[in-house]
Amino acid sequence: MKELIEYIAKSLVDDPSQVRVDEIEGTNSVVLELHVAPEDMGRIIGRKGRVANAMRTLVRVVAAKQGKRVTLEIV
Amino acid sequence: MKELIEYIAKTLVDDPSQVQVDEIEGTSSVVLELHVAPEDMGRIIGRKGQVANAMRTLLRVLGGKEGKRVTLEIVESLLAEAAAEEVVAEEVAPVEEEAPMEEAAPTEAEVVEEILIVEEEVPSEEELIEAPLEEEVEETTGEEAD
Repeated sequence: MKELIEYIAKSLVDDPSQVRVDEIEGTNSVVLELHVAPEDMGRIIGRKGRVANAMRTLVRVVAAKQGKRVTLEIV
Repeated sequence: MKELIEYIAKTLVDDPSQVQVDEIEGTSSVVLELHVAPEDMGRIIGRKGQVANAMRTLLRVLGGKEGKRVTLEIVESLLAEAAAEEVVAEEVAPVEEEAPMEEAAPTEAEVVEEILIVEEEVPSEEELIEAPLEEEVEETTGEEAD
């Protein structure tokens, strides 16, 4: 999950060096904190949060395979 | 772009070995053909196409950086296409069987007779419906008169 978000984020942003994903695991849930450069926040969230929601959809599929709920936060 | 879709698709599917992405480049547009195993089609498209659309959203951002429009098509993998052709061949056969039925149809007299029978039945149904309605009307008017 972490790798997927990291890969997607790095391909979208202008400054891949500042992309970092922290994974916090609970028993049934996972929180992913995606850090990007301030200049890339707009691009990674997208108009009306479309890009962020696209990433959430994809990561949800991966999490479902493991029987988990996932929360993606962009920081 | 191709690499991103390949990575995402391989992460999502059960059978990554059948994931293949073909990139067809135009001057201002790119078509990506994503091939996955037939069993993985559901997962890669998602409920109401949510997963497919999520991938399209990401591609749009990536395409935007290069000033290109990206089209993502999801296709069953090449291995499955051979099997699909057999299915198509089977589907063609019944169509050919239907053709003689159309040739046998034009006995117009029979068709006309059927229409006549139907037309005769329809008024009788209307009469049945109208009859009780009139009775009700008469009853109500009768009550009002009292």
